[in-house]
Parts: sequence; C-alpha cells; structure tokens
Amino acid sequence: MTRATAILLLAGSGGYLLQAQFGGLINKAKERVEGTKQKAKPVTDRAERAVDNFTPWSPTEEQEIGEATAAKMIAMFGVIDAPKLVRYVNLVGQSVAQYSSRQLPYRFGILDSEIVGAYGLPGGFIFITRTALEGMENEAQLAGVLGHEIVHVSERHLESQIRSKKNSAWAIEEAKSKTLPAAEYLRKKADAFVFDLFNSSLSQDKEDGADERGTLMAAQAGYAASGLLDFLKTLSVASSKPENRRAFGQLLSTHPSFEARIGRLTPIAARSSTNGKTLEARFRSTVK
Amino acid sequence: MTPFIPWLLLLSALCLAQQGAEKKETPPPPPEKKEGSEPLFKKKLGYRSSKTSKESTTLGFNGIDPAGKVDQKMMATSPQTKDQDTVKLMSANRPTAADLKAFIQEGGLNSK
Repeated sequence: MTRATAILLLAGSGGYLLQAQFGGLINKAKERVEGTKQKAKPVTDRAERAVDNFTPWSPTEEQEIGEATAAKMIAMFGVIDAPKLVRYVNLVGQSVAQYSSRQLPYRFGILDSEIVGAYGLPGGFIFITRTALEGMENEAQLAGVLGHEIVHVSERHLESQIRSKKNSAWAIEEAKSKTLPAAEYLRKKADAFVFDLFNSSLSQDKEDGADERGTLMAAQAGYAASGLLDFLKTLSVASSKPENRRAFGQLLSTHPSFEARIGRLTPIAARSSTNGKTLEARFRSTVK
Repeated sequence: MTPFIPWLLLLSALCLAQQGAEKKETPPPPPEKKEGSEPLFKKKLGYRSSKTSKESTTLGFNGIDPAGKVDQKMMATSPQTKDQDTVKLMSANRPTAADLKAFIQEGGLNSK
C-alpha cells in the first residue's frame, strides 16, 4: 500500500465518521434551510405577487367569458335535463350564495359525467357532475360542495391564477388572439379557460379557503356545518378503490388529498356546528 | 438398475396425479373489477342528458382517459347553438326571490 493510498483511506474513513457523528446535525441544518426557502417562497415568487396585483375582469367581460365557458362545458359533457332536479340544485345553491362575499347571478347545472367533480366558472356559472350528486346523502352535503365553488367564483381564484401565469393556456391565448374577431376571440378564451380549469391546481390556501368559507356559508344558511366534511369522507373511501381511479383522477390531480382536506376542515366544522339541518328527506325525495 | 425403473415411473405418475388434484381444489381467483363496470355509488340517477338525448344510465367514461383526465378530443369540443341556448336557459330559469324564500322557509333554513 502506498502512502498516498493510506492517506486516501484515512480521509475516507474520517469523512464517514464525521457523517456518522454529525449527520443528524447536518440533516437538521438542511431541513432548516429548506424550510426557510419554502417560507420565503410566497415573498420571492413573482407569479404569486402578480396574483395579488391583477386587475379583475369588468362585470361585462366576466359574464361574456362565463357564458362562453359554460357553453363549452355543456358541449363537452352535456347537462342533465331534469327541470325539477336542476331547480332544486339551484335553490340549494342560492340559499348558500346569499352569504357570498360577492353577489353574482349564480346559476347551477348538473354535468352528465362519470367523473366526480364540481366547477365554478366566471360570472356565477357553477356545475356539479352527476356522479358527485349520486355520492351525496343529504342537502347539507350538496350545500357544502356548492359553497366551496361559490367561494372560488366570488373570490376569482382561477381567474387571478391563470391571468398571472405567463405559461397558462389563458395567457398564451390572450397574447396571440387579440387580432381575431370578437366571437372567435371569446371562443378561444373559453377553450383556454377550460383547459386551465382541468389542468391547473389552485394553491393550497385557495382550496383550504374555499373549504372553510364554503362550510361557513352553508352553516350561516342553516345547514349542518359537517356537510362538505362528510362528503369528503365519502369520497376518500370511494377513491381508495383501484377500480375508481378514473372517476377521481381529475379531481385529485388538481386538489389536495381528501385526507389533508378532512384534517384541516374537521376543527372548522366542529367550531361552526350550530344545530344546522341536513334535510336528508327533502334531498332523497328530489335526487333519485 | 432395471428393477427400479417401473417403481420410478409409478412414483412419477403418482406425483403428477397429486398435482392435478391440487390444481382442481384451488378456487379460481375472483375476477378483477373493471373501471366503470359498476356504479361508483349505490344511487344512480336516470335522467336525460342534453347531449345524448338518451337516459343517462349508461356506464362509460366518454372523453376521460384511464388516468381520469379529460382527453384532447373532448377538450377540443366546440359549443353549438343548442349549447349556447342551454346557457341562456340556465339564466332564464333561475329561481325567483319568492321561490327562494319559500324553499328556505320549507326547510327551516336561514334567510338573509
């Protein structure tokens, strides 16, 4: 063994011993640095700052884009043509929307789809899928889900997100379609909005905020505060079965896990409990 | 060596027979449930859809890929006049303030 080899071996074993001795400290220091980076992210991230500074659409623009987007969703999935049921969903939605932070002409429809989901569009158009409705047990659950979507719409969550990100389908379309005739421009905008709706995730604070304020609005309207929470629990069980992966893929790709949402919403629902109603009998007599 | 051959043949035959019997006794594995082969929830709404004009009770994931994402073909669907009319109907058929008040009272809910 040469002298150089011996030195190398000594250095190597010394490094190993140091790692063994101080590895925990080094890892803790790394974690602290990562934690600081994550905490600093909202401040340093330009996109996040742009979200707070964006200029919202005018009421006319919002309605036009909402109508174009709703028409596209209907063309894609179809809507359930059952006047009594649709009226019922609208009445539940409007009962909750009374407590919204922004009053819009909220309208609710049922998409004929096998996937589990609900979607809030600009201007107050809100859709729930047939399969999501089939999974509900009572009116309080429906009120909680519609409340969640009303919050997304009233607080312009998706609008602010896609307009601030340079790589969103919306931003790309907005940049290249400005010379098109108005109708075509609107159609392209609707295409881009729907693409972003199905492919972008809102930030966790927006989803948590929609869960929390949707629950509070439903409770204010007189519904059991556990409505949304109970429905999330149903979805959590159903989504754990491999054969249901397809029904939940879209929802889970754009939302936090059901377990995380349940964990955050449980204390909020418990605090908001004010003997609200579930109205199971009315729900069962209409949703059948 | 030769006297052992019949015994060996007999032993092999017995082993094969035993394996066959074991195979018969093993119950076949339950068939794997296919996605969409049965309703996700117990309830199944049987209403008509604006798109298919059929009762909406058929199982199937039209336009949804195996991962549950909306596929490109579905995403490229353009609305027709009837879809725009459906949107107008959504606005026209909004329940009135009186309808809402009656609904809230019936359910014992809160009115703002």
